[in-house]
Amino acid sequence: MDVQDATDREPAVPLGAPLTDPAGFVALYRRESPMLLTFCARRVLDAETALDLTAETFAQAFRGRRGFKGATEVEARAWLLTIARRQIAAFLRKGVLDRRLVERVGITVPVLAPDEIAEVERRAGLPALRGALGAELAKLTGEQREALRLRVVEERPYAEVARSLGVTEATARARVSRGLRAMGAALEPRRLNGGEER
Amino acid sequence: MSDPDRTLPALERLGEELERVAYAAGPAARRRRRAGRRRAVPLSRRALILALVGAVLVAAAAVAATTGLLSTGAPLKNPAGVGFSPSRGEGVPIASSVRLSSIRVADPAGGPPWGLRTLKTTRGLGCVQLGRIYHGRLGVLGQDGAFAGDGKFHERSPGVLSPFDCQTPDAAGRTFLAGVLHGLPASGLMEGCNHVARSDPKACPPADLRIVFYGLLGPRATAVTYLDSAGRVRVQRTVGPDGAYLVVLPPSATHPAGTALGFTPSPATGLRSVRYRDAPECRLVSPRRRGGARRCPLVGFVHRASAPVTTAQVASPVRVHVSRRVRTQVPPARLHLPAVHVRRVTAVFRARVAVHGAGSGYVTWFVVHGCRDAYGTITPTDRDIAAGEVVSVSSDVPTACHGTITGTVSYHQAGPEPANGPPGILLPGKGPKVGTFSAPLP
Repeated sequence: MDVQDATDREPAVPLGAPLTDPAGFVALYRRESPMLLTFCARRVLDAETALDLTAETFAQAFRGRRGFKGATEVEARAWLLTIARRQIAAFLRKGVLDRRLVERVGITVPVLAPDEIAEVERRAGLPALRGALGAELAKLTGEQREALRLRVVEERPYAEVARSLGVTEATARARVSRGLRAMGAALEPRRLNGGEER
Repeated sequence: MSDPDRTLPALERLGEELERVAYAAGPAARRRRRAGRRRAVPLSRRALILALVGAVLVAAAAVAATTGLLSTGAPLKNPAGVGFSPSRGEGVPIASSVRLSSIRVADPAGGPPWGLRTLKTTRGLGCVQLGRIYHGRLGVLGQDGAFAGDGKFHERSPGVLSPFDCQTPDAAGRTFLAGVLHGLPASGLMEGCNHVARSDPKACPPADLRIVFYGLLGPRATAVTYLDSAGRVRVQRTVGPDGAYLVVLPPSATHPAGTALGFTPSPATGLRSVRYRDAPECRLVSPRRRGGARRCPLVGFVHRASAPVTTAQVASPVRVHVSRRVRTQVPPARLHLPAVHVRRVTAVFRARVAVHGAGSGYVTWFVVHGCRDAYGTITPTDRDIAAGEVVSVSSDVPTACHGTITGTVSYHQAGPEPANGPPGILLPGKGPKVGTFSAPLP
């Protein structure tokens, strides 16, 4: 299940307090941080990196909270996930963590204890995911793997991907989308921990 | 660490960091949308300067309005005549035990969030204080008739205690307490507007009342569920090792404002359920159902294992003295009650077992059957007592009562689990008997 799909289907619960209000921002953290940590962990396959990315995402959200235009919890979650996706993409592209905003905002990122690392990995389903990824990657053709690396990891535009692979842009798009579809089922969380039940 | 509902300690610590930074920064003014890039008629230089000055003034006014609303007023004090001492009543807070919980809940009408503070007292009680949080301080707002509606923040020091704030902790020193307030003024203070009588000209407008469920559920509680104003089930994870929870709602058909208050060691009403780690979820039933409300079990509560005190240990002669002097008690004018003439009856006994803390004490029961209506009072000692100390307990009996006054002194000891209500409420006849007394009334 895609996180964005899940947020789209949730009822539009208004934010109790705007994100510009300290209470509103803290509530956003309490509501979304477990989900965001799992979201990051499933994409970088590492608990400590995921916590760093979660911290950097919230630091960036805090710096940009005045720019948030939404009014519901779903919109706030979607906004946060957009920031997180950019953080993850930058990390995968550069291979190093960006801690500039965490440092600028003045947040100390805690160190995960060994049992916490195991817990994050368990909640994110990483042991099973790693196995599934290996199997899924093996299923991809070499061209699909290369197309995914250029487009998803290096975030190159499709025209550039096409040039690198020596194919048309349409073919490059097809290879990437097929590769993503094959990988998607393994990368996305099976279930989200919602804040509401019926 | 295997419970999916439990917040990771690392996320808790990161949350505390963010909270510190967020509250230090204060409210952020929302960024205004950029003006259109193209204008049909370009502004003149003078008009541009005026527009800029105007924008700065508007922004300054907005900031002033926000900060002015939250300027600080006089601190909240205990009611006149109510004082606390280290060895009486609830005792006084132990400074090193005072903690502001990181839990914050937005008020439905905005403004400072709601929060909780926990503390221990010199008489061994654990207490939870509810209030509005501003700049890391707990207090109340000057609105809804409180502090003459001055619109300011009034800090509540830990020493402003209510008996309902406290409970006897478990053997591990953890406090378990569940508060329910069906109609607390949004100020955070049960004073000001009349939150009970709707016909009172000073009645609180319903929109200014809040339905509040709060407390500490212990280290194994992971979440509470409740119905929001629209009747949807909501989940709130507990915060911190004490299992703190706090729900603040506007009155609604689901949770109408009323006069109901409840203070129990674990939730009995208000919430929908409590979830625990390694224990079944506790579903709360409606108190209107057959059998009435039932408290959730105290999951994680470490029972006290003190040896029970026996009658042989506390038995002692009780002397009684009836004063000849008649005094007049004048009830407060607002009660419109006539003055009452009374004489003081005093029971005196030697306490053979010491009292240290609010978990135990001596209780004296005075009864007169010769009144028009039977007269009886229950008087707890409500203070620390040394072993061997001579204790005097008094009751003011109306002079309209004749015949014989009888009474019983017993020793009360907190059970393995805390009882409902404040720990100072001790029922007579439950504990070992110190002695009985009787004396003729004039």
